[in-house]
Amino acid sequence: MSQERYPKDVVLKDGTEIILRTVCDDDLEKLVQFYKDTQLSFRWFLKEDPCDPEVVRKWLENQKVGKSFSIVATCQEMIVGNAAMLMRPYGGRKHVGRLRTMVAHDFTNKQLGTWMVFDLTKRAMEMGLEKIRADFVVGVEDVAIRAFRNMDFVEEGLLKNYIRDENGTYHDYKIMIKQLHRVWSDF
Amino acid sequence: MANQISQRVERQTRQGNVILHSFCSPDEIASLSFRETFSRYARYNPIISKKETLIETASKPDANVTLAFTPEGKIVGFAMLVYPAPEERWLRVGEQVMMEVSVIEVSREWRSAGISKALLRLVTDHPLKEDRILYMVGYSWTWDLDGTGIAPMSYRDMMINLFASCEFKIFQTNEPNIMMRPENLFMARIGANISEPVQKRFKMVRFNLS
Repeated sequence: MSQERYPKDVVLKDGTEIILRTVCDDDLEKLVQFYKDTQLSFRWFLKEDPCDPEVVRKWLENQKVGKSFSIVATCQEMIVGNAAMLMRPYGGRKHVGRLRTMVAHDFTNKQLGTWMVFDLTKRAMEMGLEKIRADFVVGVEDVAIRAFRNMDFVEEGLLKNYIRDENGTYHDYKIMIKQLHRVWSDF
Repeated sequence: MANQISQRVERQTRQGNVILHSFCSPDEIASLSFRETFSRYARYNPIISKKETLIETASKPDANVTLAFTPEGKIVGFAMLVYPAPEERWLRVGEQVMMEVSVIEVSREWRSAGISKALLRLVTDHPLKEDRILYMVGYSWTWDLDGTGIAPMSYRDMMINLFASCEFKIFQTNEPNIMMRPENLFMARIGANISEPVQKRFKMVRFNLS
C-alpha cells in the first residue's frame, strides 16, 4: 500500500501557506525550539519534556523504528506545528494509534491542528489501525475537544480530577476515540 | 474539432476484443448498446446508468466522451472530460480553466484488462490539456468496493496509481465532500501553459479562499 505523499501544501483559513511533511533528523533543534516557544500550560501535559533534546531525539528514533509516525507543519521553513501517531508494536493496543498534537500559539484557531489530524487519520487508515485515541485536559484544551468532536472523535472516558496543571490545580482528563472504518456498512 | 483529434484503438483482452474511441459523437454513442453491461448491483450503482447522459455530455463544448465497446457494439467502459458544473467552486479559478474527469467506469466483467488506464489516457489526451487544469474527485461512496473486494484505502491507492500514470498529482483541498471521508481524493494535472497567477488562484480556490 502506498504512503501518503509528502510534502503537502495547505492554506489556512487566513491565507497562510503551510507545508506538511514527515519529521527528519535535521528537525531536532528546530523541534526543541518549537516546543520551547509553546506555552508551558500546554506542553506541561505531555508525558515527557519536549524541551529536552534527548526526548526529541528519542521521538525521532521512534519514527525510524515504526513506533510513531510524526509530521511537522512549517511556515517559511519554521516549524509551527507537530503531530504524531504513536503506536504499540506489540499486544492488545496494536490496533490503536494515539495522537499527540501541538500548534504554535500564533497558528491556533486557523485549522492547522485540524489539517494535521486529518492527515494522520489518513495515515492511520493506511497503516491498518482501527481506532485513534486522543486525550485532553478539560478546562485547558476545550477548543481542541470541540474540534475533535467535529472530526468524529467520541468521548469514551472521563477521569475525574486526574491530572494536575503546572500550578497544582486538578483537572478532569477526557479520552476521545475515533473509530476507523475499513468498509461501508450495509445499512 | 472532434473528428480531427479523436483516436480509435483496438485491444485484445482475455474477455474479448475491445475498441476504444475518444471524442465520440452523440450519434455514435446512440448507435451503441449500454444497458446489458452496466446493470446495478445490490451494493453498487454506477454513477451513470443511462446512455442519454453520455450523449448529452458529448454535445458539450470541448467535452471528450471516450468509450470502450465490443465489436458487437456493447459499451463496456467509458470516461468523460467536461467543464465543471456551474455550482462547483472550480469555476472560480477562471473561465474554462478547469476540466474534470467526471467519470471513469469499466463494467465488472471487463475489469483487470487495462481498459481503465487506456480510457484515462485517451480521455485526457485533449488538444487543450496544456492550457487546462484537469482534475478528478474520488468519493469512496461511488466506488465499487463490493465488486473489487478491496478496502477503501486500497481502492484509493488504485485510483492514485491510475491517475498518476497520466501525470495527475494529489492536492489538498477543504472541499466538504472530499473532507467527509479520509479516503476521499482530489487529484489534478496542471497544464504546462497554466500561468503562475492561475496556479495561485487554483491553490486559493482549493481552500475556498478566493
